[in-house]
Amino acid sequence: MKKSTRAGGELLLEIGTEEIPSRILPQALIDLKEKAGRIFSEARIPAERIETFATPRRLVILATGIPQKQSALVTEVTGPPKSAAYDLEGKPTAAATGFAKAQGVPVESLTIKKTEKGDYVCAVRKQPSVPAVRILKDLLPELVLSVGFKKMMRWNGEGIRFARPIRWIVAVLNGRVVPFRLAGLSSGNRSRGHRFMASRPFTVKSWDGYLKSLRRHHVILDPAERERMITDGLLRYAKEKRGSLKVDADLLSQAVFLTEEPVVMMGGFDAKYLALPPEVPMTVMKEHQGYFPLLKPAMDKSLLPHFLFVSNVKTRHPDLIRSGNERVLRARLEDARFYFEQDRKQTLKERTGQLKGLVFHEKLGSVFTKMERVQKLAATLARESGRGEQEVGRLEQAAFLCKSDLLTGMVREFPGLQGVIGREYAKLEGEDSEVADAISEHYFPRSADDPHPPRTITGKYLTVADRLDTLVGFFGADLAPSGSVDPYALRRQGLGLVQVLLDKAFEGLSLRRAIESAVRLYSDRGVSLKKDLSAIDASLRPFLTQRMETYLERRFQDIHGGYRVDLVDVVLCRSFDNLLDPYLRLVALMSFQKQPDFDPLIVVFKRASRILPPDFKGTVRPEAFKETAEKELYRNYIDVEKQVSDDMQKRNYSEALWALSLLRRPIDAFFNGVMVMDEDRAVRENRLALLQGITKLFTAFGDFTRVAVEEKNKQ
Amino acid sequence: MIHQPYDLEVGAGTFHPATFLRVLGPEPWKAAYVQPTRRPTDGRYGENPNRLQHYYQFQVILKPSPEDIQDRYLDSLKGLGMDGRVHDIRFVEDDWESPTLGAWGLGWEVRLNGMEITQFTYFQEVGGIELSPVSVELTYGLERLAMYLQGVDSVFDLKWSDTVTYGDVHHQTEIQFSKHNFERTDPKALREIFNLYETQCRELIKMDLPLPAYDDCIKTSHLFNLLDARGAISVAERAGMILRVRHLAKQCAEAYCKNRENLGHPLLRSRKARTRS
Repeated sequence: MKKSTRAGGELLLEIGTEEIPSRILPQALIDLKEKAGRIFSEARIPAERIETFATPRRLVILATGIPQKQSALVTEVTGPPKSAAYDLEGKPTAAATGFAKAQGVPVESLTIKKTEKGDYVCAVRKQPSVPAVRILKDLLPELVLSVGFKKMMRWNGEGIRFARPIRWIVAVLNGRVVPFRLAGLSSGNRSRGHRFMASRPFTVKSWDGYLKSLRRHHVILDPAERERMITDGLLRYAKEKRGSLKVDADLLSQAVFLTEEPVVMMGGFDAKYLALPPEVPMTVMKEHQGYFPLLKPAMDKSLLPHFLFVSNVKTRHPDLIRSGNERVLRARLEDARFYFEQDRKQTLKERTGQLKGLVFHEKLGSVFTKMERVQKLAATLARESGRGEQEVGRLEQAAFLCKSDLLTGMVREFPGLQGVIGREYAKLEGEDSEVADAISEHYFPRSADDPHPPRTITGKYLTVADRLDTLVGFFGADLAPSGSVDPYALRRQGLGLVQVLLDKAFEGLSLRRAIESAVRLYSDRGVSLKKDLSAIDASLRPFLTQRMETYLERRFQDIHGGYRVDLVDVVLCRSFDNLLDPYLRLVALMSFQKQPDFDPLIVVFKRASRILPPDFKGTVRPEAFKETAEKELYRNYIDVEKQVSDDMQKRNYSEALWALSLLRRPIDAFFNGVMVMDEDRAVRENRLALLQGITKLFTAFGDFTRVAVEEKNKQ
Repeated sequence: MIHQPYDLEVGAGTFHPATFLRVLGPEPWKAAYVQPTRRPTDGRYGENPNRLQHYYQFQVILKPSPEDIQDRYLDSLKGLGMDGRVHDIRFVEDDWESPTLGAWGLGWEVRLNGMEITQFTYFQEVGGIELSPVSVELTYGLERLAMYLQGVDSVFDLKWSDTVTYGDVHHQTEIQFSKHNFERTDPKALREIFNLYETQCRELIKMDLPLPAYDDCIKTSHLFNLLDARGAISVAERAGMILRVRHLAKQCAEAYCKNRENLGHPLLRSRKARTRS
């Protein structure tokens, strides 16, 4: 926040409110800035610089370099032709008077404008240039009300809606009040400090003075400065306790926008709560209380019995605040310990049977039957890809246990910890560690932004089986998402499924067969789906292709620094039965397209495929080639073909592309050296047959006609 | 005015007619009362020091919402010895919605040193009816405040008087009602009673008796909560039952509005005018 420049006008607008939710303030600041810029410019008083700031109790705009007056506006409107506007005596006709009236100018002021089409009557209107302060009187209320919030409220009889009640307004232009009324209030120059630390209002004259007064009244206006104060404090305590600290961005933003003068403090809790699964105290601290947990410096998740939090009051008795916060945390942790002890009276295994009472979906039966299907499907998929019986056994055990934590008190209390609680309880019950991990991993990736698929092989099969079962069920029950309606978050499920299926473990998976197995398991267990296999397959596969596109777009934006939808088309345009294969092709293609040879290669390929008549059929007769260029191309073709088909078989797609690129020069030489369309039919067809063989090589990889490329070499 | 608790089982002080019905329509209203509150699913057999299926709220409802309501509220905390200069008092976003009452509002949970002590809500809609004027509701959690003031960690250790603790008064309540709510109610019977009250509520509305009708609506809400605690409401059935209660609440609200209108909105007239008439 720089000191304001004296050049031009300085406008300070402070909207004093009751506490606006911290969650929505960052976006409100961006909107406010953007809207202020637009509204001021449209009113012809553009500011040189606009900045916005916020605390829980105020939204503030500083606009500098505002002109004293509006810039002049001259508008010219062309009317009827001169010949129609004036009679022979030069007097204005009805056409002229009507036009003048419509434009709001006296008829005498009309001028003549020469155009290419002849002379026309023209009305020139100069709009008066009004002082900025008079414009702002109307503009500022409009600006305030233009800030839209997702949830708005009324609080008095004025019919105004805002995020929370507005309680005061400061509007000062160059030290003087811009007077207006809004929400039953008059704008003025009296601002307020910290709710508790400063009681009296103070007068605002200039930006610099305002900042100083706020500081004196215990308000740090700039969120960036509050953030620095908080970060510094957090790091200081972390160092003091030799703990490590992962500062969560949302948590930090929340602390910044919940305080006017932040003070970082440290509290502690009884080490006995460290016996809880660490995610539990972590969730209580972060999500319920907004505290920053301190971790042991090692890379694991183990906690120190301390936490950091941000207070909004500086006091000489911080112990009161600390012990209060400790008490709240203790109560919450005690709650958690209560659930933990209750839950431990029953094993996950014992709970599985009770899943019969939990509805998965009214049309798709209970969670118990879902678990049974998932268990069978996972085992089928694993066996089909050659997994041993020991692995299948683990998978079946993990499937049997993976939904049971839904019935624990802990998950009812902390729904975000589903899976995690299952994993921890499974470990405590002595389950195999991979089985335990798979229980939590079968929810991976947890969201569309989560880059982490399951790590264990058991987790991978389990999540694929679980998601496929869900998708098949909902698609089968005619509950597929349409438009913006996706109440069961099936797109997210699909996106996660696609992401996991790109793992090497699924290179042999046939989507068609997997869907078939999933559908059969529904009918085997007595759930009749509305749609049959072919209908489900026909809608589910395009759905997954779309998810694949979404996923690839995100992934390549992040990792390969650029996403080319045309290249995705090359590999996705035809139906595929396995997701990993087109993915590997695309990865190879994305890296190959950076080579200088790529575009010329595509150009010659396109030329070759264009020249082929659509239903051409022919066989190459090598002995009939006469010209050097065609003989050489043929020889190269034979070598490359062998290489390419070998590489494709082994999914060595980069190698295959490289081999294809070897054909570029021979094809070029071929086009330059021979006339493909020779008059002799036998010669012509032999050459076309050769080109056809070559294009087939390309097409085996993908549809290269979809690559967008500038064809400079076209003749 | 200081009102008295309502004598039916309610899930929140908001259900009291002094809030739910009085916030409707144009008539001003300012009331405060203690409301014993029942939330069957929150029962913990008296084993959890912070959760109760029966507890007390102190409810304040102000219509229209005063401009300085936050200051007045903070003064009330000062009166309890909770001064914002030494305690960290925060207004943290918490939007309130009651699906069964067809009601929503925006506001905060007020936190004292991290502990939620009050729900502070500007009502926007009740019974599906947009409110004008807007009322503000303050709901103080009495046990929480008392535990803080007395410095005890278990609600059952609160001193109710010099000789009697909260546990002496309510520990058995928690044990027995938890058992009742979770294990011993008869879902079939609860459903039948629910249906009876629902039918009766509709009949009473037709007879233009919105106040008794609303009692039946409160009953259905509590029966729904009991069924819920018993785990007898399937996911699929849940929304449907909520809608049934909501529908009753809406009809009661509409009937009440009409009733007040027919009476000529007595509270809009000054006190003098009313005593004269």
